[in-house]
Amino acid sequence: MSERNYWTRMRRQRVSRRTMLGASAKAGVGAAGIALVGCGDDDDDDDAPAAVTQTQADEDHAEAQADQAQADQADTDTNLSRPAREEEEQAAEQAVVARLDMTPVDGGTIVEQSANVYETVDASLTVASPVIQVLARIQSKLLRFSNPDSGELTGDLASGWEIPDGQTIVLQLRDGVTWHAEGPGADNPASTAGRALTAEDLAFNINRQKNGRLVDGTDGPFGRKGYWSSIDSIDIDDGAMTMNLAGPDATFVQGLANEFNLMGQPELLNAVEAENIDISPDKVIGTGPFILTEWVPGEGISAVRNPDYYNQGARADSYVWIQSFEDPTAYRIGFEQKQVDTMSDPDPDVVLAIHDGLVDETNLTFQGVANTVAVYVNSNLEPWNDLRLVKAIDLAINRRQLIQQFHNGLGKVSGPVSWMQEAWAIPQEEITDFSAYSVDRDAALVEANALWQAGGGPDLGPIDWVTSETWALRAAWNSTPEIIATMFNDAFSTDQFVGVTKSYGEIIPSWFNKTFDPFFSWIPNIEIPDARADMAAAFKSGAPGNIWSVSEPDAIDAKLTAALAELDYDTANGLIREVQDFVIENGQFGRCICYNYIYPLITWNYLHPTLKTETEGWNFLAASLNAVDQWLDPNDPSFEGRSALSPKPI
Amino acid sequence: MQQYIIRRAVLNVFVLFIVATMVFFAVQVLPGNFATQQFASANLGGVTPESIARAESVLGLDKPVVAQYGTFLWDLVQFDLGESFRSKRSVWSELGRAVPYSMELGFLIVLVGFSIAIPVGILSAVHQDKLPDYVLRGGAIFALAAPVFWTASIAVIFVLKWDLFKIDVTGQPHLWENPQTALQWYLIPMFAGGIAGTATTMRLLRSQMLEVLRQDYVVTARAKGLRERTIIMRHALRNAWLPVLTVMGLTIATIIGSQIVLEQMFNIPGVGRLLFQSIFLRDTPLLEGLVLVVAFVVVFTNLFVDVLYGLLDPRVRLA
Repeated sequence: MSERNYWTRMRRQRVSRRTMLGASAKAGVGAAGIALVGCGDDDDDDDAPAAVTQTQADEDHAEAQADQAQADQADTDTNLSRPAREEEEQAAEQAVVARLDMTPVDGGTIVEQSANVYETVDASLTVASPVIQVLARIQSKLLRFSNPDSGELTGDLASGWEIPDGQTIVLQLRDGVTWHAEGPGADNPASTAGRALTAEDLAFNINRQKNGRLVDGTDGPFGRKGYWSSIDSIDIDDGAMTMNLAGPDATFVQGLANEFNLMGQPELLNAVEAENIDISPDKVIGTGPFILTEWVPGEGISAVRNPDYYNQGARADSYVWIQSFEDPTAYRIGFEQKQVDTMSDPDPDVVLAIHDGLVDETNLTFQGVANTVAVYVNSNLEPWNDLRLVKAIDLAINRRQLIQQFHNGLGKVSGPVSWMQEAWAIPQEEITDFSAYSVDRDAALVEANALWQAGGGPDLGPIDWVTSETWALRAAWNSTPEIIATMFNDAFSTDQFVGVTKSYGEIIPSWFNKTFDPFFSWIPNIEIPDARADMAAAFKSGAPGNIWSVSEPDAIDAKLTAALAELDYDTANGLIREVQDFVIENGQFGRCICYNYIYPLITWNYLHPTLKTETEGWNFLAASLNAVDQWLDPNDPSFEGRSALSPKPI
Repeated sequence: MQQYIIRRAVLNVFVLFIVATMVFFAVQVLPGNFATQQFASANLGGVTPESIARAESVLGLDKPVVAQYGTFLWDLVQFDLGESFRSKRSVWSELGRAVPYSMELGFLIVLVGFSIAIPVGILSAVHQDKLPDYVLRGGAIFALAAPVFWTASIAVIFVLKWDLFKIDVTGQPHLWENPQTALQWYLIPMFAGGIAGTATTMRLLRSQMLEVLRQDYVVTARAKGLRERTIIMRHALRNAWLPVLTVMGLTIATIIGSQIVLEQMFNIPGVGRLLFQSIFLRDTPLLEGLVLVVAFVVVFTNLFVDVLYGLLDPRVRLA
């Protein structure tokens, strides 16, 4: 099979799956709506939501078939005969189905790559996903996502939940959950090994973040303080916890499954709080499927299975995270020689080339990356407080070109709501109606140039356009500053734009005091499928994330407030859509969202998939499932020759 | 000689002090610090000024630069290089882990490099302007022109394609722990690095040999009927050796911290890789410690080479 055929096939499959997932996402929101007024329980959570999902999926199946037919029609660049190609695709699909139907096998050590630096051992104080990648296996949340695409929920520390009146959430706490009984965290004199989890433990975690105070009485950098502040009070009664919200918040339940909302043991959290940036496994104890045995940044991390884990599904005996390969060569060696079980790389070609060489032994999936890529213009200051210039910049961004240049075409343009929050995003076929997203670049540039001229752009002199060092240090993207500058220079037929690189150390202070130079980077992770809270955080007057000081009481604030409280999906979605349209028409006020990319993830066939279905799943939300569902198949032919590191024992 | 060594050693200590001061202030000039860089994998917006301020306070980065410099110097005179911000282990401990890897790789690179360069340099000189000379010089130019990452990448492709041997990029064994696995891990970087370093030494040795072979005493030795092998090894090579020795000394001195590319490519947790990471993360105690150690090795290896000069060539007197 030639590489070209392979690409074509994968791309076509990807598009049609996404279309299917679009409906699943809508179904998930529908399910969430039902959950809001009804009852969720992981013992019976298949009932109503599943019915909705099925209905939506059936409807979408027809759409998917139509897509498939269209894709087949368009698939003229293959040199395989049609019957041969169909046969090959059928075989591949059968293989996928067969893999998903297999009975999981317990045991083995899964080896993954992780980061080289962690800023804290405390999930409530972290803002970085690598910390969560580790802690998600060690600690638990109240709820978790059972499907990261649709946002369907299942119980975790809570076995079920009810929302009787729209702003009261009653969580039934699971019986028999205990804190880890062994391991470095359990051995810490400050912790209480093996004791039962109580509702008071959970209330402590919530109130600690809500109050935002550290043990020493100072304000702590609790990243989810805003979320937990929605709670007015908590009542604890006989194995149930009732959260009384300050007002109706239709997005709140999904937030309970946010990867960052892990629960720690109060006594240990308090004891290690002052030194929580000193990374050490004896500062972590949880109730999750694995016990942390080693955590040395830059050297090694390992975890072994918790024999007392309350839930079913933890398959592997242990995990080992090796320090990040900073060079794709080392990563490639590690993967191809089966020293690590999965691989991804910012340059999709690297992964796809490896898969092409090992097509029968490896499994390739595509995951959307929850870091939305954006161009930021500081509309607080001159000259960018002239909306004409902001709109000109938004129009001049060639989003599809950037996706091609940085991600070899693997990505989709995003509006103010990312396409990954598909139930809320402007559909791809509609977003092109906006000039900034139009495929007709000539028309967009004419409009951009008119605004640029009118706003006095040519008189601005040299304009430094910053790329964050974090982005530009990646080998595949190291010419980003020049690419961005060239894009604008070409758009405005000028040479004013100069690409520069700055570290977060320079960007962050200027970001918070709103004096930042225009730059290109990521925006905060999308953490839950419901987009309403993200929109409110970015655009509501006075919101901490509203760095651009947008203040539109009627066009934005009122609609976002109404959408947040609205339990009816269609009504809420309509309001969010109105806000999005308004935002785009105003050049996104300088928060010029560009796209979300997709990265290919390659795994050996012996490592069984994280996701229940072969979907694109978000990289971020997939962690919910990673924690318990991955398993190793020693009987798979690809297992031969595998050599895994051993975890540090308890 | 003794006085010379003492004088140079004292001078070296002064040089190290200058290096330490320069490194300290150079690091201050770098934008950002560890408190901000540790959020590099986070996304903008999730990081708050409070979280940065808190981290700066815990790390002592909120103190005035002069106070930080004073602490740094005071610790330094007590041979305390501080703790790595990232791992919270002492810099000595980090060095204790990284230096053996770099020394292993450095030793193997030097071994390969000189094992090729010396015989090739001699052969090339002895067969000046003949086919072996052209071939060997051509090879040397190619080795000089080919970047190590290219040579190593090509080798990796072949090893992976034909599954020739295991390159243990996750286990990271030492030579003394698991010689076979470690040697397989080092095999490509040692040849890539060694071959790249061959050309300079080989060409220097060749030109020195050519000069010496034209000297009167070599003609006299030949006239006396000495064997060609004796003339080359005893009379020519020994006199051509000194400049080459200087290059070798400098090569050995710098090899510990200079293998950043190869260490990155093969996931070797050596000094070069640590240096790269400490720069990116602004892990200043580690960065300062690493630079100081590399500087220490360089200045004292140079002293050693100078002393060796006097021992090898009685005409060189150190005073």
